[in-house]
Amino acid sequence: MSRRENKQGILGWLKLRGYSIEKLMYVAQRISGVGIIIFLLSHILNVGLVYAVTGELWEPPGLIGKAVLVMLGIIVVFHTFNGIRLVLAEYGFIVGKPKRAVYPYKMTSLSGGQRLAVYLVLIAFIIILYFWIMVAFDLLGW
Amino acid sequence: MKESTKMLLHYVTGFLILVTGAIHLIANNLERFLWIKSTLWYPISLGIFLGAVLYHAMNGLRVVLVELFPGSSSGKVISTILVIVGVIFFVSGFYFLLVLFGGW
Amino acid sequence: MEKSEIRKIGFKVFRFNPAVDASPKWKIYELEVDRSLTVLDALLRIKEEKDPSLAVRYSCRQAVCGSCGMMINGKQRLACFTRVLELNSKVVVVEPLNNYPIIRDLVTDFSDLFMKEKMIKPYIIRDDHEEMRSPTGMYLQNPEELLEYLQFADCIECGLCSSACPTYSTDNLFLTPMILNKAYRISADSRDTGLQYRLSVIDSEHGCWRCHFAAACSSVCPKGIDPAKSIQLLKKMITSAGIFKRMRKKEVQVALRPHVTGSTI
Repeated sequence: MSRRENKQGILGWLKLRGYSIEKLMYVAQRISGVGIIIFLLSHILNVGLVYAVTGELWEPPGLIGKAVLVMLGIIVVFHTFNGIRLVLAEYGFIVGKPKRAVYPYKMTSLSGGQRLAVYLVLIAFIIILYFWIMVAFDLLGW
Repeated sequence: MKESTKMLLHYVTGFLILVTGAIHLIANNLERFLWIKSTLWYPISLGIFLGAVLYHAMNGLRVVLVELFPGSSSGKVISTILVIVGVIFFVSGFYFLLVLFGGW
Repeated sequence: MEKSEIRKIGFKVFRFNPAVDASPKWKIYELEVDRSLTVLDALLRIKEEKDPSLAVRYSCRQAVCGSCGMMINGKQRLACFTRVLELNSKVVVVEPLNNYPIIRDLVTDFSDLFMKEKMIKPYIIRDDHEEMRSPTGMYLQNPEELLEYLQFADCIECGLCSSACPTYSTDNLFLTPMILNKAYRISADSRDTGLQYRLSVIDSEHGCWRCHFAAACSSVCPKGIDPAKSIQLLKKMITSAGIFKRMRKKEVQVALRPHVTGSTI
């Protein structure tokens, strides 16, 4: 019997309409993770080969350098707080108890403690990113 | 190593990164905490940070690549390459640590 | 007299016969629709009145068999469980489910999922072989133990969850939410002691750990199963079994049957 393969491939990650916010956060976690790896590997080389010799880290010139710092802040802070939420969810702490499936169905993994964790992640993200940007532009007196 | 062990380590290193990474960021960016860099604990914390972040990063990459290119043989190739990359960066990073803090 | 709303809706249906067609095409059929008509009703009316060659899989038409899963306006739904006018669109786009091979038109191939279901041994496994061979009674289970897995046993295996899963869209070796849910339903049953026999499949490179809680499965499930929850509970079960080396559940009581006790009480 002939058949046609119908796999979405990586484009399946981009189908977000009609699904819950957790799917968006899954995609964002992956993209931020890859971004951090790129920074990480270049940073290790930066420290060992530039900083060790000159005493200063190499930075992209002017505004680009500041933009990179802000981007880094966004991806690191998001990845960290979302990661904490994921560990709690994946070990079953906030997904809710099994209960009878009665119409209209309310999925406890998409409501209750886990959804609260999503909102907390977003709030913590905004607060810590604010401090990150303040420090990056030397606006904090610390 | 079982998959569940690899993922447990992924989350444990995630927690270690949170702690040692926060120390690293605070000690390098906030003036009133610059003194942390001259303590003995700082390079030790950096060493832990280096190991944890490299494991977390390489395992994370492995997970993404194994999903994009599934298959038992590609799984082995991906794991081997990432272990090698991780070890190379750990050894060089550790060497840089010794140069910067041990005066080698 | 109650006025029943009747509207003209266009159905843009994916048509493709791999044996003859070089590439898929879309056909648009217009129907007069009232508020009770479901998408399945519409497709069958199209088959009867306009185009008998349309291939559709369906059976119970009341959302208990799981046969009529398809993409309706870009989201995984059961055709018999979706009322056309509730979609609020002039044109309803109907396609076969994502991630499964297309056999013809709206019919997809689930053989990959059935193969994986066999791999996880979806039946109660116990070590008391003598009792299994010549049973003296039935295994008792109290309401709390039943609730541990009852929600996940309601699964009608429609496959909407695995179609929505972003991991399954790239990784064809992934066990899929539907199968992992079944694995947890069996392993969480107090009567089952066979988790160790399933571990090599579940705790593998493409097992439950390739789930990263995107929860798309739970957002499309039409029966309230919450497979995202059962997969995370499965991870918890595997990890604590690995750390605490505790796989044996507490012994299940056996209520002796009349042929042994000699009475019906």
